[in-house]
Amino acid sequence: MIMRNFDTNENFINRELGWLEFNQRVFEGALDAANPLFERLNFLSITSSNLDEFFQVRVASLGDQILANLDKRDPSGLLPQESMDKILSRAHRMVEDQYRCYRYSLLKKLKKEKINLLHPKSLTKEHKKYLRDYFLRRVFPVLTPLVVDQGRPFPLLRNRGLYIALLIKGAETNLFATVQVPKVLSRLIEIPSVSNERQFLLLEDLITLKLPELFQGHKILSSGFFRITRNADLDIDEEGAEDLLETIEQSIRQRKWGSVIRLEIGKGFHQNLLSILKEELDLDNDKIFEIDGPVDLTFISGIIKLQGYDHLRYEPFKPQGVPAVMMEEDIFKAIQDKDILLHHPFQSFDPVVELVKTAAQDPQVLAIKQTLYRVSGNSPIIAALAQAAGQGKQVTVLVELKARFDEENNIHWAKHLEEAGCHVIYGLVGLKTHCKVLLIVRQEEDGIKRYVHMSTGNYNDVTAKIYTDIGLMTANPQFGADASALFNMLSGLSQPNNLNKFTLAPIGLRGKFLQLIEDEARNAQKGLKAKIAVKVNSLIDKEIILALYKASSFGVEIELIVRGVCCLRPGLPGVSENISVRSIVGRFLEHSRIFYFYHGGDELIYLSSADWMPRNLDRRVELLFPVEDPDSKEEVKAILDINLKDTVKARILTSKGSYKKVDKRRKKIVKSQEVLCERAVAQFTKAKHLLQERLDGSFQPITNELE
Amino acid sequence: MEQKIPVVAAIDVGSNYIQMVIAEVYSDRQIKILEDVIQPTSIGRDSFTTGRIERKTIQETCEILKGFTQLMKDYRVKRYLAVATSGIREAENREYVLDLIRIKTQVTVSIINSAQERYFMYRALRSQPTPLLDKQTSLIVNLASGGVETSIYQEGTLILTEYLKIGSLRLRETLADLESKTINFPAVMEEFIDSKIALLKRFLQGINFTNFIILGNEVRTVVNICGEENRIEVNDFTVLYDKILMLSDEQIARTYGLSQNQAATFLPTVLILHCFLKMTRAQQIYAPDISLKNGLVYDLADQLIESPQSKDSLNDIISSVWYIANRFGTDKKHVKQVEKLALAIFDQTRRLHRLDNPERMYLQVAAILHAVGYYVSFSDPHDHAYGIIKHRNIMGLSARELTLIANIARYNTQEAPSHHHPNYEGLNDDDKIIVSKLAAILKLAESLDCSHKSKVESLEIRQAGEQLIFTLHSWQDTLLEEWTFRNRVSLFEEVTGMQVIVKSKGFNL
Repeated sequence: MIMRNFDTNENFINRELGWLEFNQRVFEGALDAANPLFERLNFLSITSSNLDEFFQVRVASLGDQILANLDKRDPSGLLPQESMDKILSRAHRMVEDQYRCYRYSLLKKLKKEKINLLHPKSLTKEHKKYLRDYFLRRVFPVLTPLVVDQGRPFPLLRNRGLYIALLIKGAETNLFATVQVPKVLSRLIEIPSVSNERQFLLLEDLITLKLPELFQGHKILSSGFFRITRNADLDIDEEGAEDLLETIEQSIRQRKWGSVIRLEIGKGFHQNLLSILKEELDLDNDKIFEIDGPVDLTFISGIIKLQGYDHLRYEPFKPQGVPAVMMEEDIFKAIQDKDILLHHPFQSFDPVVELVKTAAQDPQVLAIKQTLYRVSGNSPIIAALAQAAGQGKQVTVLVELKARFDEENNIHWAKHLEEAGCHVIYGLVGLKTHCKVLLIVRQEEDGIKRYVHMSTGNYNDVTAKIYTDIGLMTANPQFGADASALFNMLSGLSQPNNLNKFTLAPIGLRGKFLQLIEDEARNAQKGLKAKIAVKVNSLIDKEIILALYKASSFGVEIELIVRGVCCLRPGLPGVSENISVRSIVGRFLEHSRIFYFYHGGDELIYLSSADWMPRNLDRRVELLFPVEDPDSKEEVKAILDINLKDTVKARILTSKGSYKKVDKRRKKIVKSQEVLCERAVAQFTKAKHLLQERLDGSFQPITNELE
Repeated sequence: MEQKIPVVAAIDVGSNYIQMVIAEVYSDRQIKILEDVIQPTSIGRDSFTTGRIERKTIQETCEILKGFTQLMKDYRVKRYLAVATSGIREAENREYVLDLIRIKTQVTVSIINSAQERYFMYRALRSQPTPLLDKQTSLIVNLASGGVETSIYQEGTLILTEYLKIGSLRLRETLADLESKTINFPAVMEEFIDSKIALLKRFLQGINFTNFIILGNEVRTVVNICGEENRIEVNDFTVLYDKILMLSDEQIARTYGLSQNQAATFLPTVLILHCFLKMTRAQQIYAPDISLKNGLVYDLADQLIESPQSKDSLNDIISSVWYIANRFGTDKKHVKQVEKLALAIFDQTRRLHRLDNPERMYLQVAAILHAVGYYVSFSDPHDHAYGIIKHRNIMGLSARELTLIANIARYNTQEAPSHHHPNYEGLNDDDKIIVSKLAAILKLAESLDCSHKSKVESLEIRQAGEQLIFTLHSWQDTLLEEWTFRNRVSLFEEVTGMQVIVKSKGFNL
């Protein structure tokens, strides 16, 4: 048989354009009139901050490549400059859509709810009186007006800071001046009102009103808002431009460190001001975004946080109790009896916190080891670990300091743990520790027992209420031994040994995935049933995509649920016609990674901390673990199935690279996240009844005796 | 909570790797491994090239061991055994290296010799689920970084064991100079190995090996590449051998996915195995997954719970001692008689000498080897026996134990231990007592067979007040024996504080 070459440009979707389509799906949450108003605002706010991050990291990295004159094409065949053009044009369209939605839909709805964002021109005398006082007491002291002239150079502008630019009449030429809208103050200023209407003015509008006072003695010709986004220069290698990195000369990167890659300006920004900025910041026109509305939408979070207005939010969902944990008081015994699968946020994260807390107190527990990537501000897990160390237990915590945008926070509690007597380790040089594992070593009557919890998501009790993740608790000794070996490797105690159940990146994970896909392809070739169903957040890795194409061409049925970027192009004849790709963006952030392989009827199911991205497979410590208990396997299969049946929040990726809604004809309406909520409630209720029956039952003999 | 099931740790500070296992010892003697950790080290590299261990290596070793102690704390391990092999053994600065380790990590590492290493390895081998040694003639090659231990078992009994200094890392370091001078380095290396093995071939003639067993860390790599679990087909091995001759270290590393360290010792490992394989007719090579640290764990377990395997291991020691005795042409019948009598005296006077099983084993070994000196010369045979024993590797015995046994054999004459003898003066006080007591027993045992006719059938010792009565049961006239006995009894009387009387009984002619 002649092997087809699948590695051709038309078989791949450009990664950045794929990402923009993902952001578009998030944006759809803002457009969707079926969503409560505050949630729509929230989707808009997320879309906007996503885009900020995208520019800081991805677009910036592309800019570096262009500067370095790299002519390497991406898998879809685009040169860096070509990608850049397409991305910017798509981003412009997206920003326009965002603000159109804001202006025509959301702002009006807010007004209906009696939440008013006032226009500076519509302020009454009363308003102005209050604002004058507010300005003097709160705003004025923290403002720093800057005028640029020969003696005073152009100021260093802060990344993602909101500024007001002014054109001031000078003696010979006009001068540029600027003042930053201070970050320490709330963007939303509430003006007290006697009615039940609430009225807000944006901080930058207030400052604009007061500019003449601020620049006394100058004649202000024009003013406008602007905001710049810089190259964040965050570990670019974390972000996928890795293979190109070496070729980008260090000098270029250093020279261009923090270079500006986007300028947002308010509508009607004066041409003279713009040309000054363009020159100072060295910018092309296509990186300038004219905004029809408030520049920088982060103020929306202030609106969403307003007290009351519950009718504008999702009906709260309480994560449900986990039956196996409810039915057995001793959590160690419960795990010993049977593996426990936890599906968050449908099921509560509390059992995980409880497990650590119980272990901290349990006199039989000798040691606790845990990886921590991103934890909540006031993490009960950290408190429990510190307490365990205080109780004389050996506590080893692997802290990943480099969790993006969280570094400072992480250093803080790492120190706290160290002070409490924990052994804090920082993982392997050059590899982020992304796997999520908890190991408890316990001395029992019949010897040492090890309890392991593994998860697709972080040990973060706050995000566990928003992100969908699956965790597994087990006392299976082979998992215990593997967890020990993993920690020994992470703490530099040992080279990796033979593992029983775990597969780790960067050592063997890529190979394992390729093997599992290959196995299906081989079975399909033999005419046997072959099927793959995978749920991940991103599918970018080229080697994996090529393996999936090959499997598809042999007739393997492949169903992918990829929330974010997917570079695989489904439905191409002879290449991917047996592959379907869908994305679900809903109330909860889809985060769990599930891997199902039919495997000749064995039905192998794995969970992992890794996505199908090069960084996960090659430059991080990631974990893939099997789900083996038959009941747990069925549960995971059911979860996958419900996801695959979603008809409302799911979007189907077409061979053209766009996403379309599910064709609902002759299909039951399924909102997967809601179904999973109901399922968790039903499981919990059933367990509660059983428990009640058991309690009633246990009283029976006593009543009998009394009779 | 009390530890009901003891948890023990075994640490092997090797030439190439520092390793540790932590294990539970169940009352049914089952061993459950809890932790198994391994870290590379350049101890061997330093030691085999410069003769000293460098500061940086010492520091790294301490770091690794500190990590290991942390892991021991996780399981509250109280009982551990930490040993160092040739890498540290052969370093000039070994004493203070070990002292530094002790100060910085609180781990007391003791140096073991190759014979003790072998003892631990065979202890682990004995605990393998499938008996490999029972019904065949086996050649066992234990390949370590520093040297190769070769042993032959016939139907479960050890009949030969020799140590050759051709370890994989040592070969690499020793022959480093040659590497740039030849285009066919593997051939030169193989020639070198063959020259060393030639010494052994003399003893191997006429033995038909059906079983070839290989042990050691380096060997595991070979198994992983061309074997299955614990077996390698000879054909597969030959293919590997042919292929590897053509490859550079880098190519080896790339082809087989090995680290730089592993690749460097891979060629010598394969060559050594090939040289030994040539001497057998085996179709399969057995490579059970055992290592020094496993042996250490079993030894720790033996200290906690008596086991049949620990008895096998003692038998291994005694058989290897007999191999030495035979090699030095001793009168087997006489030696057997002396051994029997010495142990009879030891066992019947336990309340007087208060020595225990390890000392009993020293006496037994000394008895078997008491006459090896005659092989060298008929004058001063005891001095020669002392020299032979002290410089001989005997499986399972430490340097101290060898010194004790050599001393015991040395005083198997009319001479008594004296502070004028440097060999005795060098011992510490406790060891002087052990030597004196056991030498006194051996003297009597030897005197009771001075005619080499095994006249004494059995011996009975009875205490009556301050007197100790030795009754000899014999069919023959034991006058000469009794006379010799009386001449040599004074040391025994001194160490026991008893007056000794000898009688013969029962079988009057």
